[in-house]
Amino acid sequence: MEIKEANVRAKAPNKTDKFVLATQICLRIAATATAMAAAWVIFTANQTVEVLGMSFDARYSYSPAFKFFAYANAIAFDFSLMSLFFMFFARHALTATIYFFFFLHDLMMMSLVLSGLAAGTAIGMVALDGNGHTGWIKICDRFEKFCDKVTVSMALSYVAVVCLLVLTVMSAGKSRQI
Amino acid sequence: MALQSGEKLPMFIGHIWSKQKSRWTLLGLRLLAFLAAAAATLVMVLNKQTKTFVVATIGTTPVNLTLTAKFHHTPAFVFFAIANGLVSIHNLVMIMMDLLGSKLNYKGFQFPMIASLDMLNLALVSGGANAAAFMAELGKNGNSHARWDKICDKFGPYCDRGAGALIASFLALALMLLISFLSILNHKLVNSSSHNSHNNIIALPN
Repeated sequence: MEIKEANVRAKAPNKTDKFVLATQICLRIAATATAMAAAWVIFTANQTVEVLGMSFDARYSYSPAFKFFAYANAIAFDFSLMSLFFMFFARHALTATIYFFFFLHDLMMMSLVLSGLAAGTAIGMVALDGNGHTGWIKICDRFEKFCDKVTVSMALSYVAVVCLLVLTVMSAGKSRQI
Repeated sequence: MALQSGEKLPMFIGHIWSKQKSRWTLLGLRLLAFLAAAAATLVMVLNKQTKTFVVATIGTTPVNLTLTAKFHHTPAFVFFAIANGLVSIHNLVMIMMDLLGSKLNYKGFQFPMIASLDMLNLALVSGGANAAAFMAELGKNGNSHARWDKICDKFGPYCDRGAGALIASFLALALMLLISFLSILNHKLVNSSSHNSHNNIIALPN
């Protein structure tokens, strides 16, 4: 029994393991950075327009969908940052169970950011094109700067979602191997 | 015992969650998710209301305007219907594969495929449900800053049916989340219990 336990798959980290770990950390950095950038851009996107002496302004808090999108990205940034620190400082002691918790975390974050994106895209399309059947006129021809910033924020958020999706699949894969 | 010192999965999960029970639980959840997503699709696609408004009166004859609210007037609802349709097809295929196909081979390519597909469909239904939810919120409350009027006071039954479809879709979303989590958990438990003579630690402590 002693000899059998000593001969078992005690792995020193080889090149593949290091590569996978490095990929995970890079993807986490990418997801954190893009989520933070998306949240930052939409929190600071506001524009005021003067029409016939009256001033209209547009900011993210005027629409519940944009609020949800902004908060979802902010929360995803927070949790991704914490998971990045955890993975970096615990990188020599990662077991399959810890990878399972990473998988759960990545799944939740991806779902959250994607929900925010879907909401923001739906309302953004109404703002961009209007809706003839309900009588909703488009506002993006008036508020061009605001619409551009919201578009940039959503593009960054899409990149974050793709990173989180790859991270989820990788974490699920690693959590079953070891 | 089932798990060695490196693995910290609690012991009671291994006792409660036997392989047969987990298979039938997953199958039951997939059936529920299929039913919920199919219900959401059907209710949204068949959602239509026609209403006649009196806009003016010329002399004594009223001028009528007939307006129809259909789901395909709104791109978000079209995406919702397509997403839920795809998710229900996915769950149906998974159920068929589990009942009629061969036993899942955890070592081969089949399991990552199923796990990835589950996650992609989770993402899809999450996107569809949330897009439709916020469009519905816009229709219900309007947006005073953008001068967009609410429509649910005029088209009440249309909005009610849309709300029903949304509830079914969120139920499907919760179930898909649970299914994704459980299929990975099942695989871990099956894998661990079949390798109970090996050590599962990464580095041997000196």
